[in-house]
Amino acid sequence: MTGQLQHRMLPVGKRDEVARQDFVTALRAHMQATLMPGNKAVYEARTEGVFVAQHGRKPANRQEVASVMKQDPYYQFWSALQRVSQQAIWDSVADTIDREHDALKAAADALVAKNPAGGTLTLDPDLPIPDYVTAADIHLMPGGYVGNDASEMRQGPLYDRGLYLYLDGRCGPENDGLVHLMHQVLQWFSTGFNPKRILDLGCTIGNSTVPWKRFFPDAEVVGIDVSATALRYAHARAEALGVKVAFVQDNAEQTKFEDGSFDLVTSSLLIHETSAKALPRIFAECRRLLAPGGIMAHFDVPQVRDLAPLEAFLASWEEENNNENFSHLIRENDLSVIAYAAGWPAGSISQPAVAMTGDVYIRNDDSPRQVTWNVMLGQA
Amino acid sequence: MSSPRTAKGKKPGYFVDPATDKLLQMVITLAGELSVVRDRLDLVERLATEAGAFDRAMLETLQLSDADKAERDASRADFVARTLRVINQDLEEITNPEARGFEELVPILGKTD
Repeated sequence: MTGQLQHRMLPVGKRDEVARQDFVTALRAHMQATLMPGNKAVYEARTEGVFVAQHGRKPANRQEVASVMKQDPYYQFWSALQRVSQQAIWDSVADTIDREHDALKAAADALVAKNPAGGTLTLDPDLPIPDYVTAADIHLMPGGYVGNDASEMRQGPLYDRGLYLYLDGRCGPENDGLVHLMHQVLQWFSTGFNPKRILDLGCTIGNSTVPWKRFFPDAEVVGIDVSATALRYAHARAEALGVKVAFVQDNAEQTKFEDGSFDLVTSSLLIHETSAKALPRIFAECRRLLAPGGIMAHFDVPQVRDLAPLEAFLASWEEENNNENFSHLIRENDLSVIAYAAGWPAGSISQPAVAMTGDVYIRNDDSPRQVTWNVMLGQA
Repeated sequence: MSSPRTAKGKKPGYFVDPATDKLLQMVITLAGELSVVRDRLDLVERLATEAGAFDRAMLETLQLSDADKAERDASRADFVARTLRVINQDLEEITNPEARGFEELVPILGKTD
């Protein structure tokens, strides 16, 4: 691992701050490689037996697995450690940001004034922020995506560095590996597809927006998000990387853009952070925004409905313990059913199985979970 | 202004006793700080070697005098005793009457009236 790309907007930690981040990384790597597989061993050795003794049969679903696993001391410790380590990620970065805040803000102002890549930032202070974004701090990131003060430069750099630590670099030096994978999937779906106008929904800090401009340099690339502070950082970050993107504060459920004005409408890890009401609106909005022949492409967390009960239970940990409060919606439902109900024509949705190990950026994972990304494509 | 440090949302407990959740958090924080100190010590050793103050290899080869060893042994024994004090406490109450628990002392003190 070569480490995260040190662009101008990424805060530079002092030695002890970096040492804390290194510790969290080591802790989580140990948990993933050694302790996580222990859950399966414990389940097979004793926990499944507890359920069988009570009910005379094996657990049939993740809820039944939960009823015995949550009582098991090994799982309790693993789960508690997982929660503590998730909190420690953000805490290990927040010290750096508190110390560097004013310098980061000045760096952003300088980059925006110089505007080397020619990107833009359009904010809408009157845009309502959806409840599913603010009800809880998703992934336990204190302050969430929106933060307390939109003029500050905290939540953006916190997410940029924290996401890298969370992924342990699995998505590359710029946290953009999912789009590298999605680009391959798009070429498989529509050979030679060359969009002229691309919209990235729920783009936060633009880590999955910038790579689209790199893959399609002639395209106009737009990223939208409801968070002004995330977009401020996204704009400065993209300028620091020398990549032209237009960032706009807008809501993916109902945007300000005209009908048929994009060739590709995409999202990376957005939809599991929305809600049951929002998701059909987002799918309908994608269809409205696409020009004829245009493609909708969403890339999201794995589904659990096809997994064995134990694997489904473990994959659902994030929902209850990591403030992915609405993620059961996409983990347990067929997204194509929701898209068709939202107006997509019958047969227009494709859901290829994309292995988590299928790309140079996606490192081979020793965990017992055999899961695939949740990929959904639709052609208008 | 400083960054918020607590995430808004559910606060799930994992153990029967909520205190265990807090203790685990403290243990991991302490482990993290120990890791930070180890990294810093490693750096100091490397800098000292580079500056010619001593060679890092001497950390393995230096022979301590008997007096030095005794001092370190005592210090280490004290460290172990302090760290395991919570476990030793029950035993101490039985073997050392001076350290008897408050519950046990209440009736004894009461008799002095």
